Amino acid sequence: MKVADLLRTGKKWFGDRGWKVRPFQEETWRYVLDGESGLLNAPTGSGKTLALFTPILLREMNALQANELVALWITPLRSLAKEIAGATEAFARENKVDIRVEIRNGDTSGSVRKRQKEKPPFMLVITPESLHLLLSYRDSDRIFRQLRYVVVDEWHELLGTKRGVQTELALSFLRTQNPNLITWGISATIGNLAQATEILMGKPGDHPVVRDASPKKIRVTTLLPETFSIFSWAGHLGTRLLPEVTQTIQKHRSTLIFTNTRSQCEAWYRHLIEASPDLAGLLALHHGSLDKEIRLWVENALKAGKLKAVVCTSSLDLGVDFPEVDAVIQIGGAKGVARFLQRAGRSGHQPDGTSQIYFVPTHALEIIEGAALKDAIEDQDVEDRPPRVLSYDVLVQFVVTVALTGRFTPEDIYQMAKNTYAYQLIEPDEWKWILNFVIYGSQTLARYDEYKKVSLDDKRLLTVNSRRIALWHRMNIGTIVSDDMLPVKFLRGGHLGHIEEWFISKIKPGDSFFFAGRMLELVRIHQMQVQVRLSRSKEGRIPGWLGGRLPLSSRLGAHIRNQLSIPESDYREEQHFLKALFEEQNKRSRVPDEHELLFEFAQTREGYHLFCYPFEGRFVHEAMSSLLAYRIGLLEPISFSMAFNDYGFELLSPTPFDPQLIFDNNLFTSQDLLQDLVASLNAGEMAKRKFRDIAVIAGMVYQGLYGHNKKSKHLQASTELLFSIFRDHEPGNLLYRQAYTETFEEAMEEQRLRQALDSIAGKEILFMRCDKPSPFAFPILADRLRASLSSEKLEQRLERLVKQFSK
Amino acid sequence: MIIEFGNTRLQLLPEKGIFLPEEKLLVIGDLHFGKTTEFREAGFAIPASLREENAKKLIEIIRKYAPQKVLFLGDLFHGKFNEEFEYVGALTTYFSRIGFVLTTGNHEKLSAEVYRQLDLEVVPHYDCGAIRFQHEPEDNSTFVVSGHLHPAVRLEGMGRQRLNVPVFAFRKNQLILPAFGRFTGNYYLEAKEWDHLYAVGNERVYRLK
Repeated sequence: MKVADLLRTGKKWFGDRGWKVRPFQEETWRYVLDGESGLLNAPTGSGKTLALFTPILLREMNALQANELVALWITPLRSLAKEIAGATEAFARENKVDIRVEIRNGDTSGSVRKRQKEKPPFMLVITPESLHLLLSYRDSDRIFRQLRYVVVDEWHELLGTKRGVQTELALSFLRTQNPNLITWGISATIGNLAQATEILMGKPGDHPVVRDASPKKIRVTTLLPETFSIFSWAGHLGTRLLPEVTQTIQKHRSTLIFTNTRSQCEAWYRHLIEASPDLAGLLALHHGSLDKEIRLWVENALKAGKLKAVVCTSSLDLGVDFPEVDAVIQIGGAKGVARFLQRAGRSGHQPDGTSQIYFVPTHALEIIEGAALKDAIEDQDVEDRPPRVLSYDVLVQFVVTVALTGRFTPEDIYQMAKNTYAYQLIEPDEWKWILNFVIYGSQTLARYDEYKKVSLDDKRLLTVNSRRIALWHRMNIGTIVSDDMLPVKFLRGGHLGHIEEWFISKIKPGDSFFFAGRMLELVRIHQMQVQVRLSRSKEGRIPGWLGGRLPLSSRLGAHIRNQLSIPESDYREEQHFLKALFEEQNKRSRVPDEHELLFEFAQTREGYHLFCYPFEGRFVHEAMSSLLAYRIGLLEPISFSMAFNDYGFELLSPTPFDPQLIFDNNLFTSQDLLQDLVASLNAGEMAKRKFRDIAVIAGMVYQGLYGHNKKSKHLQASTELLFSIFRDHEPGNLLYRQAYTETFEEAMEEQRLRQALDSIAGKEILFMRCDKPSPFAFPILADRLRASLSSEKLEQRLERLVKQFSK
Repeated sequence: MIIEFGNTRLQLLPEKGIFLPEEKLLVIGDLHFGKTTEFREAGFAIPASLREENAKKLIEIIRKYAPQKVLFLGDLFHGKFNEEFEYVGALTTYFSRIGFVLTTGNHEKLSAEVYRQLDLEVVPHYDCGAIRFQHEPEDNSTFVVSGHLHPAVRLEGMGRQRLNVPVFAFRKNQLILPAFGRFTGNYYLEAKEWDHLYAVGNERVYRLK
C-alpha cells in the first residue's frame, strides 16, 4: 500500500474512536511510513505513544509473521511499561490487527522470559538493562532477525546517564544485524534536542525533529506568606507557608506536592496531616525508598482520583499520567527550568489543559527563584542535557555482555563502540587497555581469576567460559548501583521501604522515627532488617538519605542574578515582597548587580567568615570554596571549614586571616585548575565515592545476588580498597582515572566552574566588611552541608584542637 | 609520651602501640590479619599488595623499639585460616630472637594450635608485674590493658573544625589501646565517660584529658 493509503487507514482508526489526529502525530506518521528515523519532542499525555506506534503498525500489518519480534519500545521506567503495552496492544486489537505486545523487565518471571525467547511478540516494552540481558544470549541473533523499529521513550531522562550510554551501545549492537533499523526517540523539551537526535542515531545526519506545536500553557504562582520578617526566615522554614499550601490543596481536585529530598517529603507529609487532620486517607506520600507495593498503591489511587494530594519526590517526575491532577506544588527551588517545566506538566494532562504550578520558597531569598523561573519560562530558556562520553565502566560491562554471545571478535565490538556518540573518540590504546582488562585483568589484579572473565577462542571470537562468571555477570548487568539500605518491616510482617544504615545506626531500640508517613518505634535490627511497630510518640526524627540533591542550573542562576538587580519599575510580585530584605541587605552589605561579585567578611563568636555569592549551584560552590581554601593555604597555613548552598559559599576559619590576599594574588584564576582541584582534599574523597559505582558497573565487585545485601558493607570497603590500590600502584588504570573525570565533570562541574571563574575575572569585585552576617548569608549559615580543608599539618590541627578540648 | 600505670612506666607510641622500657615489652592492639583475604573469598577480590601494609608497619615498629617480647592483644587474626596468616609466620621467623605472645580475642575462633604453628605463644591473658594484658576490657581490681574497642574520639573546635583521632583511653584501672591495623574501623567514645584520653598524631601522642 502507498503511504497515502496507509495514512488514510490510520486516520480512519482514529476517526472510529472519535479522536482527531493532531498535526505533530500526522507529521510523525509520514516520516515513519517513509522509513525515516528521528526524534519526537512532545510531553507526556499528548498522544506521543500512538504517534509512533500507529505508523509502525500500519507499515507492518500486511506482512505479519507469527512469533517474530518487529519492534522494541525502550523505556527507563518499569511503571510506564504496563500502560504502553496495554494501550498499544488494545489499539491494534480494536483495529483487527492481531499482534502481541509484551513487557520484559526485572519483574518479568522466568517462564515468561523463556516463552518470549521462544515465541517473541510483535513488540517488547523493555528497559535498557533487560535489553542488554536479552542481547547477551547466544541465540540473540535469532530473536532480533526481524527487528526493524526501536523507539526510545523518555530519551531526555536516559540521556546524560549511564543508562543512556547503555542504550546507545544496545542500538549500535542491533544495527550490526540490521543497518536500516528505524530509530525514534521521544523527548521532553531540552536545550539540545538536535544533539539528542544525533546521539540516538550514533552519527550526525539529517534527521527530523518533530515538535508538538501547541505546547501546554503553564501558569506559575509563587506562594507568599501574609507577613514577613527577615530574621525568622533565616533558616529552612517553608512550613510557614503551611496554611497557604493547605488552602491551595483545598482549591484543587487533586494536587502533586513535589519536594527535593525524601526527608523533606516525609516532613511535609507529617506537617500537612497535623495541620489538617481531615486530609487523613486523602493524602499520601511517594518516594523512592518506600516499598514498591506502597508506591504502586499510591499511583493507582491517584490515577483513580481517590487522593486529594500526594507529597512526592522526583519519583513522580516521570511515569503514568494522572488525569485527575490539576495542580502541582513545588516545595523549595526546583533547581532548573527543565525540571520545573517537567513537574508543572504533571498537571492538566488532558490535551489543551493548562498546567498550574505553585512555587513554595523555603527561605526568604529563595522567593527570588519564583521570579527567575517566570522569567526563564517566558524566554523559553531551557537547560541542555549533556550526554556522557567515554564511560569506560559501561564499556567494560558491555564487552563482557557481548562476549557472552560468543559471536563477535574484538574488532567487531570496537566497531560497535566507535559507532556510538559516547565512544566515537575512544583511542586505540584505551580500547586495548579495556580488552586487556577483561581478558587478563589489569596489572595489579592479574593474580586474580575473578578478573579474567573473557577469553579468545581459536576463531578469535570473544567468549566467556566460566558458567559462574556468566551467571554473575548477567545478574549484575546494569548501571544503577544500590545504596546501603536496610529494609524496614513491621514485627508482624508488612514491608514499609528502605532506610539508610547510617541513619538507623544512630537510633536506639525504643526510639521513634517518622517514616512512610507513620510514627514508628524501633524494636530491633535483626538479620539486617529494621523491625518496627507503630509508636504513640508525638516526637520522632525524620530519616535522612544521602545524595539526590541537584545543583541549581547555571541558566536559572543567571536569571536569578538578573532578577535581583532589575530596576524597581520591572519588579514582579516577588521583588515587591522582598523589598524589606533588599533594604536590610543594603544596610548591612549590598545587593550585587549582574556585573558584580559580592564578597562579605564578618567576625562572629564562631570565627572569621568570608562569604561569596556567585549563584552557580552547590557543586560549583563546593569546588570553588575548596579551591580557594587550598590556594590560600599555599600562602599561609590555615584551616577552613566550608559551607555552601546554591547561591554562594562560606569559608570559616577559627584564626584571623586577611581576605585581601585572595584579590592581591588573583586566587580566582582558572589557571592550574585541574592540578589545584586534585590537590584540594575533596577531589580524592569524591573520586573514591564515584569509584564505588564504577567498580560495580565494570564488574570488579558484585552487588551480590538478590537478598544477600549483607555484603553491602563489604562492597563499600572493598571498592575503597581497590581505589587506594590503583592510586598507589596503577594510576594509569582507566577506571581509576574515570572516577576523577566523573568527579570533575559531575561533582564539581568542572566546565561550569571554569566558565564561572573566567567570568568572575570580568566582574567587578564588591568587598564588604560587615558587622553582622547579611540576609544573603543566613541560609548558608543555616545549611548543614559542611566540608573542611586544611593546609596545616595534622600535628598543628591536633595541637590546636587539643588546647580547645581541655578548656 | 611516658605515663605511669599499675606502678609501671609505659610509653604511649604514636604508632599506636605501647612500650614498657623496663621489660622491653611491645604491646600491640587489634590488627585483623586475614580480613582482606576473607573479603576476597566472599567474592570481593582485593589485591594482595595491600595486605603487606599491616606487615610493613609491624616490621617498622619492631625495628624502631627493639623489644625482647611482642605481645598482641588479640584480634591479630580475622576469620578462617588463609595465606595472609603467613605474614605473621614470616615475621616470627624473621625476628626469631624475639618472643611473640598472643592473648586470644573474639576473632581468633580457630584452635590455638593453628596460631602456635606460627610460632606464637597463645594464652588467654598475660601478666606482667601488677598489670594484666588481655583482649577485652574488664573492670576489676587489677590493672588491665586491653584492645577490642578500637577507641577514637571526634574533636571539635572553633570555626566548626572537626577531626577524628584514635586514642588511648583510661578509666579507673583500665587502659584500652587503639587498633593497630589500618582497615579496622573506629569506635567513638564519649569523652566525659573516661578519666584520661591520649590522642594519636602522626609524630607524637597528645594528652586530651
